[in-house]
Amino acid sequence: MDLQRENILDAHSVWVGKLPKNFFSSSINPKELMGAARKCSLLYVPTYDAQESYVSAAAQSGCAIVFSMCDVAKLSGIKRAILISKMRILLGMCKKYGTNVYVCSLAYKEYEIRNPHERLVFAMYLGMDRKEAKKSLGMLEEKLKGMQ
Amino acid sequence: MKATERFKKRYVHFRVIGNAIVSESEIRNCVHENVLGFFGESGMSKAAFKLVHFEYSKRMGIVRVQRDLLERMVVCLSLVNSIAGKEARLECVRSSGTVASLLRKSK
Repeated sequence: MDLQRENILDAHSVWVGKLPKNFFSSSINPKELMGAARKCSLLYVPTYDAQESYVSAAAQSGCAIVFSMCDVAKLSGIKRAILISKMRILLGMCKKYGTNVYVCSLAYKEYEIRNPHERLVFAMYLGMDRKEAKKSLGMLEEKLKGMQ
Repeated sequence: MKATERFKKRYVHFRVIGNAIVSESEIRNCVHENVLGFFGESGMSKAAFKLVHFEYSKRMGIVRVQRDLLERMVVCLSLVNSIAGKEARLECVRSSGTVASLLRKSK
């Protein structure tokens, strides 16, 4: 199941706005990130800054860190290279602490939605093995089931 | 040439999605520019990249890539977010060892 930023009519997608309260959080403020890592199920950091504080807190609470494909697709050249590098460092830190990872599209428009194969390959490109990548794609369903 | 010496290749079937009207040359240029930007000159030559087939009517195409670099090629094509500044992108559908099987499955 994929996660989108806007309300797109797609059978395999969920809109961020339709998620339960305290399920998804997005911030770049370190204090807010720490709080969100303890409370929320999904944590999205648009800058992809690797900070041990919130990554370890997320690992303890079972929160998953969101990696968006659209963030990378929107950029090009040196900016894209820097963002992918930041994502790889964050992913390495997530692996170190055992934090869950969720790779999704976070699309604004319908055409920006990526299919599961593309997301799987992107996860592997960031540095996951196939097993980890498959697990990371099903993270949203797993978390939603856990809520019920 | 021995079978073991032969260059191992895979073919990736992609399609253009989005409502924007884009011309054939714009799509072809977009594919070439993005692959060159992603792999670089050296990487593109190592990847043995070639746009082997393109059908504008079906908005689909097939690219050739070295087998080891298949996943990178899928990432490269899936990270295209606009074609000539218009709202359209390339979606990787499937990959195969022969063009014939991709064309057969695309029907």
